[in-house]
Amino acid sequence: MMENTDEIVKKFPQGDPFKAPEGYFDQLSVEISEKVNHNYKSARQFIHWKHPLKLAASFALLVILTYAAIVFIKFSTNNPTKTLAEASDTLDAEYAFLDEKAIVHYMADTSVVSTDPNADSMIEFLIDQNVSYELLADYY
Amino acid sequence: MADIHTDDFELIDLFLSGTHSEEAFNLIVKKYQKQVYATIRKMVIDHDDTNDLVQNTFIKAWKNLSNFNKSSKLFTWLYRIAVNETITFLNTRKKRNLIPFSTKEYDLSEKLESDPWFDGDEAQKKFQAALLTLPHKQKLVFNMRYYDDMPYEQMSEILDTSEGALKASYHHAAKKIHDYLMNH
Repeated sequence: MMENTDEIVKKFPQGDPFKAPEGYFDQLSVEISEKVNHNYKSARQFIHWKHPLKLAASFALLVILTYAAIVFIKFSTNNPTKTLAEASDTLDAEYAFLDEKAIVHYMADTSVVSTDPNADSMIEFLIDQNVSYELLADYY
Repeated sequence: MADIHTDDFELIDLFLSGTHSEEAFNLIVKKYQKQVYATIRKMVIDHDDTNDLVQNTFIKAWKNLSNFNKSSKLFTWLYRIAVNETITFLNTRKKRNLIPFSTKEYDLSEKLESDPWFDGDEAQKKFQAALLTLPHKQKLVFNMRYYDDMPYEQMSEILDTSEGALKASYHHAAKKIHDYLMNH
């Protein structure tokens, strides 16, 4: 194929017939330089400042991360995390203040009990927990 | 002191140093302006259109030179920018004009007749008219090989096309031009 192609192109006219106006190439770099300066001066300034800006940004990030770490450590020291046992003790203490009467009264409320399919088992549970019969009888 | 013969990578380093950016870039323009101009001019024919595209090519190069990958040659990279600018321009003109290809071909042939910076005889005019019948990319492949004697390997890097496909494209272009010259 290559030899064939070479044979064909041998018959074609040689040389580049396109010329540029006189002095065109002397002016071209000047024109391009002017356009670049006019349109991209700020972009070029950015290239000049690119590395110092990167350094400044890295330093600022380091300061922010250090500050965040200090604040986090301080917060953790002042508000230690509760252990499971401590949390459990707190809950028991809170439940100790609940009024048994109020619970039974709440259970007797028809809007709650009537929609609950396990109301009987709940009453049995309350009896098992030594809630007085008199109190339950008052409501059921 | 850098001059037009300074190594490309040295010029790029000088450009990136920031202190002599303008001087380094002017040297890059001076070094490759004629080749870039010739490549674009053969594709778009008109000098003024060529001038716009050459300037756009170098302005794009200036904007992206800091991202230039030194694994390829600077000229290969510039050539690729010029080719992309030219193909985009030709496709835009084709869409905007919405005229039949034969009419456009006739218009460009007419332009050649009156072009003061076309220095060719009748055989050259006929040859250029034949080239105008080729699709843009095929014409580009033909020009790169015929006028610039560019190796297929470099053409492949610029056009992102396999060497086999480029050889076939060059052969078909040569055949079409030959047939045109025989019939006109």
